[in-house]
Amino acid sequence: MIGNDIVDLTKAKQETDIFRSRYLEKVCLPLEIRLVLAATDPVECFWRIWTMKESAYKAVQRQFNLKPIFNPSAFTCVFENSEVGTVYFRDQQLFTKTLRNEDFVYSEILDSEHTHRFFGADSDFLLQVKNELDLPLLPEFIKTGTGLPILKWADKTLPVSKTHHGIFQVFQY
Amino acid sequence: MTSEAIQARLKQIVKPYVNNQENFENLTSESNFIDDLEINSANLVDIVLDVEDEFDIRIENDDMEIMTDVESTVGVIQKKLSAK
Repeated sequence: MIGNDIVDLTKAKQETDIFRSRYLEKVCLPLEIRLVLAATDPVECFWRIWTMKESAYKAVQRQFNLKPIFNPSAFTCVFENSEVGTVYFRDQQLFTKTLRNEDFVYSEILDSEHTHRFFGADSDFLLQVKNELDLPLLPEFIKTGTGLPILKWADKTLPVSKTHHGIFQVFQY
Repeated sequence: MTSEAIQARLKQIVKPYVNNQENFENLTSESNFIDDLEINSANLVDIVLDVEDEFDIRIENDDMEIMTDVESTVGVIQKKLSAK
């Protein structure tokens, strides 16, 4: 499965106040709220949980062709270590990896078949895939029934997860 | 309250979070918050909280689940108002 999500911390600071009354309760379960409040950097910890949930949501939505829903608290996050985590959703268990620095928090689903990651613009990404796979032409983006991206060339397709926030854009494929 | 009246108030609530002004001006009951209005998903939480404050209702997370477009959101608000 694939799914990824990035938060531009500078932009998030302007857009979102996670300490707004009742905000955390709409997104997190009680255990997750305790993790956030106990963290050295609660905001960063919150975005780790958020991006884990979003990545898992994108993955199950694609896998099971689910119609769009908005219920972050239906996804349960557990931290295994500072990078790896587990997200539980219904009977599914997904593993995630989170990369963090002072500018962004980025999570993606761990899947041995989709280990490629590309930071950058659409056009640079298409060129990268063309070169990696030695294609005669640039692949093109098409969408699944629920609007998730797929790359297409000749008679072949490649599922791609794309996330964009602020100045950052990342593809997992 | 009529669904038209609720939709008009909802339009004012979503306004500060919209990233696609053209689609906002042409807002219909079918407008999707993320695909059409390009609202950041973290701000969907703010919209739910603003809706709770504006209409003096509380929305459980299971009801929030379908609040991804104007029509569904108006439906949830109507349901909560009639239960008051």
